[in-house]
Amino acid sequence: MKFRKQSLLMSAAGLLFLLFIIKRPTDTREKTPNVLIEAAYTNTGTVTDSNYVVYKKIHDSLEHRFDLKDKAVLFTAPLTYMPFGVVQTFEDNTDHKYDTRSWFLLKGVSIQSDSKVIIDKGNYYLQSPGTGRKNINGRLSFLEPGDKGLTLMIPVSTSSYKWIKAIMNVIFWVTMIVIICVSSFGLSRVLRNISEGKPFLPQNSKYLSWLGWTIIIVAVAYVLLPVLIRSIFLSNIPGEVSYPFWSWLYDLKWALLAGIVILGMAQAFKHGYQIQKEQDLTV
Amino acid sequence: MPIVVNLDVMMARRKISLTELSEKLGLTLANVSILKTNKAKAVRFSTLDDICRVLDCQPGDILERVSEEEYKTLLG
Repeated sequence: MKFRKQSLLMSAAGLLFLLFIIKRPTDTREKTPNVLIEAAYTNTGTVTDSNYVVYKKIHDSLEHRFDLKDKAVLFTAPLTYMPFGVVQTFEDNTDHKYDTRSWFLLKGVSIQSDSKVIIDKGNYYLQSPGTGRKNINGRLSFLEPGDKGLTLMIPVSTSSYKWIKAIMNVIFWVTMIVIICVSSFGLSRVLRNISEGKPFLPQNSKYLSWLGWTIIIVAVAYVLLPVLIRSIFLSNIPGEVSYPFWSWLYDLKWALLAGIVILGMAQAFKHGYQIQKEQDLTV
Repeated sequence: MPIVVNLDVMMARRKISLTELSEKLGLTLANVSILKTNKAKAVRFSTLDDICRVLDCQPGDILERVSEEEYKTLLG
């Protein structure tokens, strides 16, 4: 009866996953970078493909290009990322003046389709029909080449940055140690037991279960982290800037599938152990 | 599972030791011990046939169905 219940749960998980794949969430991030490019068109007059490539290559926001468009040399501002890319420091070395600023990052946001981005004297605004101009209270950037959507950069004080950095370091290292222990220790034990002709041991099922859940939890946590960040700064972020959670989860579908498959294998090994035990006690 | 195996009664009647029985049955001592101590989950008909042949008895002579309470008492 217990196995029937577990196999029903696994079947339900598989069906839900299939539905998720078939009914792909609308990805609002895809066209979002265009709003930043349109802002560049407005401010610089023309943006050629080579200019856009320059933005992506220097991993910088459009603001730098505006400042340096008359200069022969473009400066690359070094960015320091913290684990999970949640915070960064940004050394702004325009005109050889070094200015370190700290930011909280919300990656992969999308902008409402009828909103425009306006960059005016270094301030970023959103203009939407009916609501007028709203200050974003931060910056928008591409940041990583190939990133979907845009990255919202929220300014934080140096002391806040240090606290967040310390917390994120702890979370990062704890997560890394758990992942390394579970995947290398657990998986190697399972493979060793199988190679020794002992596939149906209770610990094999346990290790596989740990591995499956670790993959699923890490994948979901990675997507939930920006939701948490957004909720902390909700009062500062205009409603037109949204975090498309389901699209991000869809991007991690193969990790989720791997987790579900491994959990299914863990159940199979558990069932196998029960059958093995009965077989061992059959004379 | 309230079916007990009364191997020791038949073994005493036929004056055969556990070791000798396991040799004649072609089973390991451990397996015969599992049977004798009522830890077995199942018995193959082929094994039952061999036991009855060696001990010259009927299946009913070595298999007995008891109540749950008697079974718990027997197992301790």
